[in-house]
Amino acid sequence: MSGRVLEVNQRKVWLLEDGDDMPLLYLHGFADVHSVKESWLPFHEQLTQRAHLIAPAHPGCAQTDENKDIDVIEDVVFHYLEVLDALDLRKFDLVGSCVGGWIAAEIAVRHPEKIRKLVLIGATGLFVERALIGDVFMMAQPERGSSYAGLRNMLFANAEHPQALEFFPDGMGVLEDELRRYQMLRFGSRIGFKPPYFYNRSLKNRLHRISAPTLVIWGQQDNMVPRAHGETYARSIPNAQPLKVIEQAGHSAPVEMPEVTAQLVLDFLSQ
Amino acid sequence: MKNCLKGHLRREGRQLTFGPGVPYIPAPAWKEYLKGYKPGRKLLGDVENWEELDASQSIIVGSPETVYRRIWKLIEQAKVGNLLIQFHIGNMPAELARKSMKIFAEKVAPRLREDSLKLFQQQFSGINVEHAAETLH
Repeated sequence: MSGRVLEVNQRKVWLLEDGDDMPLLYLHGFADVHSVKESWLPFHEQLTQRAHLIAPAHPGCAQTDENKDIDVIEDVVFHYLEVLDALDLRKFDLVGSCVGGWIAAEIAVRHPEKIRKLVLIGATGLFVERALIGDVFMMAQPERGSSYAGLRNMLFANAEHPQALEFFPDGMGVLEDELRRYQMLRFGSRIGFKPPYFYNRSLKNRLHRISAPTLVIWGQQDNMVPRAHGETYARSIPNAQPLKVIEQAGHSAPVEMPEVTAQLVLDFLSQ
Repeated sequence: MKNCLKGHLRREGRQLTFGPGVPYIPAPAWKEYLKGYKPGRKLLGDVENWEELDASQSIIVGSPETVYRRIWKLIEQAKVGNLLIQFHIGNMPAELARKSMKIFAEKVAPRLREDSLKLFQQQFSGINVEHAAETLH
């Protein structure tokens, strides 16, 4: 694994990369590389065995410079278009989890020709009636000043899962990790704190533009983004496979069920 | 006292004004905050007695001398030029609030005014603080 700084529009973008073969751009979510840990999680390590995995940190996350001009999802998409140019990525596989999945979908509807295959895991981004996305900011406020059980419950099927407790410990964890989590919330707040909460009403009617074969993966018990969102993605993207549901996993399937999730992704990419 | 502090932040439930879930503070400033952060510590709305209230540093209580000392420390450290004071909190009887305002105006404010004038004259010699002070009175 190697990390490096990319200069994009006079801002620094931090990314991790590893492996060879087809380039795979990975956009992270809340319980993920860059947002809870500085290195790969087992899920990513498995991907690097069969892909050239490139995982940039979102603006303001890890060592990527913050961009105070980011207001709406459109700004994030343009940020990533510049990242793609800097990396000289013209045709690649795109995998996004949680907020990263939303960004991936927004990139794919604008530039379908750039995407070879698309994978969305527990992606936000849609408005689905009677299936609102859970309020992660509310849950990020500790209960009784120190308990993050609510946040763990939102991001995982099992709030007491060892990784859930490691990534979102009660009280105060290591300062660097606390900061990492805060930076991700801060990035998330730029595009999802004020309504519309982590969605773009226009996205649904644009999904038909995605031409790449697409796989939508959802944790069986996603307490943040209801499964109806996954079904909507899978139904609205023309070349999408039926929704794949991973048992014993919640919103962060790559953390709770890393092997199963990574295998699904790799099998799909190599089909 | 508990009644007076009704409505102030407490540990029970979630605070929806400040914290990781309301991430409006730049990351470097949040880092500084975290350095002195004690999870689960009592908040202003949780205190049970005067000692805790005083230790919380969210409020200044005590004799004219104590109040003078606490405020003077702030003036000296942060070069405070203007003070906005809330004398009445919660369901405090109006008479009590008036009484402390009167004591403050008679025994604390004149000393602060005089001493800060001297301090600012020393530290900001380029500025005519006396003139500035006169226009305020």
